[in-house]
Amino acid sequence: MVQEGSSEDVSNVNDTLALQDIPEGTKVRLRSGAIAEVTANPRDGGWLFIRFIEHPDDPSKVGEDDMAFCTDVLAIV
Amino acid sequence: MASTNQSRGDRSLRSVVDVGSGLVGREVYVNESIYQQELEQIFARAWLFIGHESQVPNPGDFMVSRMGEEEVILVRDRRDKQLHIFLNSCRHKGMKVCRYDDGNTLVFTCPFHGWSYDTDGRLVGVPYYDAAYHGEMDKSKWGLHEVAQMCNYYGSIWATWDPKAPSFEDYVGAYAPSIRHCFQSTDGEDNGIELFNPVVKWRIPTNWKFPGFSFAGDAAHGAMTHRSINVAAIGPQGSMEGGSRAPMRADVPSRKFSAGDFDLGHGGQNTIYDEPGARPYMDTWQTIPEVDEYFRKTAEAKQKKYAGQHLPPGGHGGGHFCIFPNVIIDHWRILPWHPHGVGVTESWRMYPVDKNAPKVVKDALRRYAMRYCGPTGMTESDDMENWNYCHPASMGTIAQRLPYNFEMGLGHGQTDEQWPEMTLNYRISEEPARARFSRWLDFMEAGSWDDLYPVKKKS
Repeated sequence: MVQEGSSEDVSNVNDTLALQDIPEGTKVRLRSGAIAEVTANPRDGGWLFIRFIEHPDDPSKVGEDDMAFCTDVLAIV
Repeated sequence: MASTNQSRGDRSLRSVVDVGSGLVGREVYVNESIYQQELEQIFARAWLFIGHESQVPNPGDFMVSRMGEEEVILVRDRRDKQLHIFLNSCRHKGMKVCRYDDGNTLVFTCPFHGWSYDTDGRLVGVPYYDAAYHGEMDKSKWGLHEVAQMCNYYGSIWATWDPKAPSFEDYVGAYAPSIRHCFQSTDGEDNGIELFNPVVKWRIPTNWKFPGFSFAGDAAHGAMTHRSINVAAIGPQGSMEGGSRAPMRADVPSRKFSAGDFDLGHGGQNTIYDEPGARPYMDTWQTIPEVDEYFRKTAEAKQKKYAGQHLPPGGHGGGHFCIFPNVIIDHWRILPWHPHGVGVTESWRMYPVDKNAPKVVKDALRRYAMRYCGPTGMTESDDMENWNYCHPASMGTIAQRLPYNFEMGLGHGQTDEQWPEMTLNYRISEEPARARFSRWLDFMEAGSWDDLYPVKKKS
């Protein structure tokens, strides 16, 4: 079941998605407000490899590759 | 500069281990402080066997191995396909970042706090890096700890933690051709083998030196220890030619010796071939003729390849050998003996096989290996019974006053121009063990590799 986490408290670790089975190509919303595409999933439940599609705070990051930790991944969009 | 280690009773190690007289004090097998010194002086410096490249064929493939007591990850980088060997320990708080024996991965993520490392060892993911670390930590300084040197020697992978260790070929010295030979397929081709999966692992209640220092070069134990399986004739030829636990091999002009390299510590029971050329094949798989058919063909190919060349002394019927400190090598089995406490050894078995052999051959060899070797193998069950009782029987106060006797063949070593680096003795002697203990003393007393290599020739 997809859950949404709190966007105010970065230390809130309870409301996180289960990342293990999210397939490549899925779009996710991050705590920063950015939208990213999953480019690879190491299936460790902790991280996703992502590429930014939208980044409201820093548009220069669009197209950049990064890693997203589970507490920063709020929802599948 | 490390001080000479002291044993109980404040004696130097050279009075506990007297190689010249063939006497070895029992406490070197049971003394905790000597064991801890071994981990520092030997296992943190020597070249150690890790695995084989066939165990990590694809980008992102990994397997977990051991260097001494410590666990390491052999991984093939997912981008440039280079091999790396890392200590299996997160740089944050030490948790293992890999808790599987083998597999394929994009990253190694620590299950404690989520630090994540790429397959080249770089730290690439740190949770709360901006919020909690304020972006200040230099991730480039906190990657997985990599070995100082690694060598891919014809597919076999070796490593050392010590940047000052000599090259691998210098380290193994006269055994380099034999190591290469053992990792050839039966037709004589380099890089022609793969290892059966999984690696067989089990623990035995004995000090690593009981098996590690005696396995290769203890010909005297076979008649008594393995009496029952010799009579049971567990070899593939059954009771033909009187039966044996080993496959039959054609006789060729050669001489068998027990051999020890007193300068480098390696040794075993090996063969000097008096004439060039590979052995002709002798049918031995009585119940599986397809296996003989395969090996007949590969033997012919090897004879063509080795026409005009002498076979190396070890492997493929020449006999197995120990590369100091703790791995026994032969063409059909690799036996690392990992220290796991002063009175515990973790034994590993890796079984090479021709990678292009048909299934019927691989199945036959796999079953033979399991019947012969490993935790359920009949030969090793015999051996374990000895080692597992030698250790506790040597722990007592009275027992430790009595040295072990390593006098077999003492004073009868000789040399041969075909293998000049080695001290050779009758095929049943304890020359290999004396050579190992000689090098053991060198390592235990050395302040660094500056004291160990180039070797100071022993008279």
